[in-house]
Amino acid sequence: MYMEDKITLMVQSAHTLFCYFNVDTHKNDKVMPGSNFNLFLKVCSVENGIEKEIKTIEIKDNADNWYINLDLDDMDVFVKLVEKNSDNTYHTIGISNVVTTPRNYPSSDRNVYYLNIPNKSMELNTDKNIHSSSAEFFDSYFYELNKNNETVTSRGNYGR
Amino acid sequence: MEDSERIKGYAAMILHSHIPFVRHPDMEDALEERWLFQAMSESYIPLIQVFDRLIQDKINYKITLSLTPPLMTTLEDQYLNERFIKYLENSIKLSREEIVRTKYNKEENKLAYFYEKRFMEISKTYYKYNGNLMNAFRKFDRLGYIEFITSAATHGILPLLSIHKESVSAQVRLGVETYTEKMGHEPDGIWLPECAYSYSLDSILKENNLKYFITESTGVLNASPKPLYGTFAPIITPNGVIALGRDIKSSRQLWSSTQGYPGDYNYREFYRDIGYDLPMEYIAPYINRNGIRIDTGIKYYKITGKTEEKLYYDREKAMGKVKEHAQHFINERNNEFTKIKPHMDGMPIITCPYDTELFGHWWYEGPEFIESFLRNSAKKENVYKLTTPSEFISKCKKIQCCSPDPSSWGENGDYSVWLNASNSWIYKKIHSCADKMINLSNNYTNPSEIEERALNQAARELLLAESSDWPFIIKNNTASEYASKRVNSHIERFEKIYNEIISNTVDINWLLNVENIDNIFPKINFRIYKSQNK
Repeated sequence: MYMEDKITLMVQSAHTLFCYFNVDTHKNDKVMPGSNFNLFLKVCSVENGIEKEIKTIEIKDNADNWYINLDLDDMDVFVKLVEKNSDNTYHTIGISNVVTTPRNYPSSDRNVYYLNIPNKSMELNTDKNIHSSSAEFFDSYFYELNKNNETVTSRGNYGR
Repeated sequence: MEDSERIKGYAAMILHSHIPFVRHPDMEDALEERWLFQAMSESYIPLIQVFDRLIQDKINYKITLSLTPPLMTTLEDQYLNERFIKYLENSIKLSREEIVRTKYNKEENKLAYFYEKRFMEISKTYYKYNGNLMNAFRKFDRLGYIEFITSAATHGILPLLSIHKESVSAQVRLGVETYTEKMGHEPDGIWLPECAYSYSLDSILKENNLKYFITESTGVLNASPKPLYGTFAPIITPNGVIALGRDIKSSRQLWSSTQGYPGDYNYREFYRDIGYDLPMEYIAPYINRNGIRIDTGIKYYKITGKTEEKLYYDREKAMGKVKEHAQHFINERNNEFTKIKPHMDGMPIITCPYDTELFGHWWYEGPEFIESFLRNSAKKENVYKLTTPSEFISKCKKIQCCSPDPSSWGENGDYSVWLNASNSWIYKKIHSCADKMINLSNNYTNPSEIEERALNQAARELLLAESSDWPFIIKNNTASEYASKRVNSHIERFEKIYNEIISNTVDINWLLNVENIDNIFPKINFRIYKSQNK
């Protein structure tokens, strides 16, 4: 149903997420009349189906969106929008979609699988000797290139 | 030496051609329509002239061009072509006035003659293709020199729309359908807007029968498992779509603000145009009708250096420099392939993607760079051959299977150019409209004729609001007011249509007017937003 989800999570980069939310302050009857509306984001990772809370962020200034910094990259994350009640318990208002953050470094998985194009069959190439010499060359090649990490952007600006 | 002994690799130059849908029959002398006219007269037509000259000289070249649906549509739009003709006529008229005005200044006068001749040649090429540049592109496609690929419907940045799979599917499907209609056959590849990739996007590409896409270098370098040869070999995703990673070195040679060729002091200075430099009473007929100073395309100075005291542009010297730079670019590729090949099982590929509009519009001498690169790459002394992604892929016996890393070709290689404090407000609005569009599509299974038209227009408005150009322009603070207005006006139109549909009060006259203004995708079927399980 439309607007069922109250919080939407988006990936900006390997270490930064963005979320926006709609909050109906009148729904929670545990909030004392006249008290501040205390909203928090509980950031959770999911690994092998197990949910783990990794940080709690207090939402300030009646914001309806927030940028979330993460220490780690390459993970499945979602956020819970929660409200702190007058008795210091939390009440979940909304749960976001799950996003996967990009990897910010080369993968440690060095397996080499090939798809044979003519018959579309998959093969695991296990010739470690060929792999290690090539891998060494290209690892060092791209490491040197990336040392000069000058941003090479694209796209001209429209207008002046 | 036989080709088989000489050749150590393949180079694929890919030019991404895109201008957002800037069509304003509802406004007088809309500034933004000039974005298209400048791209046509400064980039697309000079490049068409280059491609024609090479064919005439029997040079066997290969290059890839992406054409986005908004560009393909506007290039064939009658209203915009009529406006372009006036734009060209005005440019020729101004250059002739400049010949008179500059008669006592030898350098400026020589350049005024140069511009007059150039505008005349541009006009001649435009009419050679019957005032429709798509005719030229279809010809190159037919002759096999250029491989054309498509892009997403309105250049929406797909990972930021992926909250709704239906939105991403609609962007990709319409991109394929528009290309097929305009080019007469399905595309093999797609230019992902901003090279922006995210997990699961490949499944949607696969559903649309797309064989490959171009990705940022980190999309391949950080893929998993780690690709053995980095960006020098394509990879294939678990869904069977091939990704080619942007080559880092060749990108830097053109884009780097410190080392890039376009910054050479001999090249034409972009930011000194007579539209800004000459007195208003003289230039008024050639700028915006509301008196806003704009680029006229006549510029007399070269970059010169980091100084305001610019020297006159010397066309002959600039042409000498561009040949030098093209040869340097070629030499670098020869060195690269020689160094890499011994460490690889098969042939390496270097994928060099750039914006088409860099060549000619931003870098005035760019089309001549492309010409020199293509012409001299064909020489037997090189250790590489030019190729296109499809041609290269067809020669591959096996391709390493990896999952590309989410990335874009923007600053930092992530999505931060299109999602940051200046422009994040856009997404809440477009996601909300996408929710509504999907609901409409799922629920209106048998609409009346008027409802069907309204539903189709709602889809057009949503798609137009999704263009990656708007957040990009807002972030760069160039024409940000216009970009914000575009997002808001499409959202407002969408909301009005939505409310009228659900309340059964469609305003037919208003709808007709909006259909005439935002007339992209005339054959759109709103059901592209239908959820798969419905």
